[in-house]
Amino acid sequence: MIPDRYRSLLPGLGIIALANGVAIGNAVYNRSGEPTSTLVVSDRETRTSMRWSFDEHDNSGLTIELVWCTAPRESSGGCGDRRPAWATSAKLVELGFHVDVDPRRSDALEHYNRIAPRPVFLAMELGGEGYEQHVEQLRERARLDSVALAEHPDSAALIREARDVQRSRDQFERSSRLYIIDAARDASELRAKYSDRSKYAIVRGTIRPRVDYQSKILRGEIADVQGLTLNVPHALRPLFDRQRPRGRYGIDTLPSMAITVAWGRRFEPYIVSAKE
Amino acid sequence: MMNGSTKSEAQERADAIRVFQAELTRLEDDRVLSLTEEQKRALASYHSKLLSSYAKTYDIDTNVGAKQLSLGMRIASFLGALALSASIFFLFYQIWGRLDTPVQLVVLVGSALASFAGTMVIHERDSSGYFTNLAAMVTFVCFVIDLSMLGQIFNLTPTDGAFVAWGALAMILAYRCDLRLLLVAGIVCLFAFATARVATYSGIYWMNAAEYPENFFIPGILVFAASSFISHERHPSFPSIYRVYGAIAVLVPVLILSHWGAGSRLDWKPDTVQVFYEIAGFTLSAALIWLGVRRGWKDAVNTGLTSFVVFLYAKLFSWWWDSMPKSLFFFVLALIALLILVVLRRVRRAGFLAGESGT
Repeated sequence: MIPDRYRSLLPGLGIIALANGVAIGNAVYNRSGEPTSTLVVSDRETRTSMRWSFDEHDNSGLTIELVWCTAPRESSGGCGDRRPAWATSAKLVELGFHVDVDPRRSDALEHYNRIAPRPVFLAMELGGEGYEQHVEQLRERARLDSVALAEHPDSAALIREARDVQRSRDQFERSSRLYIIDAARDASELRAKYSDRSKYAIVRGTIRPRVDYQSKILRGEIADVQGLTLNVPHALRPLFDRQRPRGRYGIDTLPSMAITVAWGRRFEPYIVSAKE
Repeated sequence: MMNGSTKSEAQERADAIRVFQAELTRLEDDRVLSLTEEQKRALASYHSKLLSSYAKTYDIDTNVGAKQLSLGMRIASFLGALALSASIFFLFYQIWGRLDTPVQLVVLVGSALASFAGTMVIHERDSSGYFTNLAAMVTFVCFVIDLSMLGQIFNLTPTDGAFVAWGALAMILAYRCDLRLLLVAGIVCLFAFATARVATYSGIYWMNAAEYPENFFIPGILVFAASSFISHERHPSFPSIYRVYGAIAVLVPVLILSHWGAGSRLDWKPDTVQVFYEIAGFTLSAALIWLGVRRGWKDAVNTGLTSFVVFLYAKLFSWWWDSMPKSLFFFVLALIALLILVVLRRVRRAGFLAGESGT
């Protein structure tokens, strides 16, 4: 029998214990069995998370973020572009959106802006076709520029353009090779399509339809990609802290290293190992 | 007759005794009423015993000076609770990176459990409630940090279920220790969960729930209605908190939609949506005032009046701000304020709120 004075503690302690049990149980379940994907990423695909107003004295923890890009479309695309070429209106229909309003209609922008994002699964590829397409696009632009520049060697605009392309190529040499290449409502559908677990990761995210203001083309926009912020375990901290520049605010770059990231049964990633 | 079985009832009784004593003195001075010396002694002794028993059991204010000090203590307790919670929050962040995962777990879970047990111990010894308030707030923050940090450590997918756990603990603390601050925390958490569920059932990912103000309506109505469905005999100050927060949770989204029609899920033109919600805003405010008057809920009347004035001023602003000279615009506002004062004075004289029960 529990004495009366302790009985009043039970509901509160029960809630705390239950909530922690569920959270830890989910984490254990996620990491049990074979991971759904295991990718070895480099410092190109990662950066330290924003510390906001915390400096190192106030926040001793370290989290890193996976940086993703999208395959190029027309003249744009790349890291930071949330409307990839593959997210066509047909793909939006596949994902369960109703796209019956013509995007060229005057009220289409407003109509599609009202549609809420839907949870989907996204396929993330490391150093594959998406990356190669991007390399090829920049190479082609550089080639066209050099041809044009050979014909008009005094053109200031062409010289400036060539310099911009060169700068883009330099930046590209250091940017992420992790590309989001597809989406589906069902994870198994993506897994069947992209079966190499060391090259493709299946992650959770949300997509919403958007109409491009100028071209009036309807496209899917990646509203959110979940679980890209990874906690660096205490045991790996010395490796990450070595050479890492200290910044009070903003994002730090990481030293050159190979980080093995696994995605578990619940598609939640975690760092397995890291080496220089 | 009030038994003084809760702190607020005891405080109400003590206040009534103080008013009675002052009025009795006046009646005696005006020679309207005269008690015998024996009656006076018996009355004074009865009141004195009652007040000292209340003061001992509930740490109530037995005079005006104590009441003023109590207000200061309440503010200090609130600020202390916020500061201590912030301190614990930063302490966790300061140390967590230096700990192994198992130690992190022990610290997080242990601090939540220990702070809850500590709050219950303090509650048994603290008749004033100020220290309990502080300890309960710390418990709540420890639990919020606990689940948030677990999510961060194991990179768990965010879930709206966390709001249920936080809300449930806040409610247990609020009802067990009679704490209004924790009741507000509990209402906010459970409201957030209900909003997320409404969004999910209507096909919206729960983290985007706030992008569509209409998702707040059903949870807001539920919070408002909870004041009537839950028995609050031991917590007479709680129903007004439910009503005020429930009403705000409905009226603020209506105000937003009356200016931002594109944010609605109704398949209408944004201008039509705005007009609809303008009308809804006035209607709901008036209905709230009516309900408050009818049921004797002062809090509902005040919330309804405030929102009516806000909707009115917002409408006047959109109509006349650009077209009218500013002096005339503010003069019209002043006239409307005077009109509201006249109407309210008539309502007060008619004694509509005489039967206010507070529940």
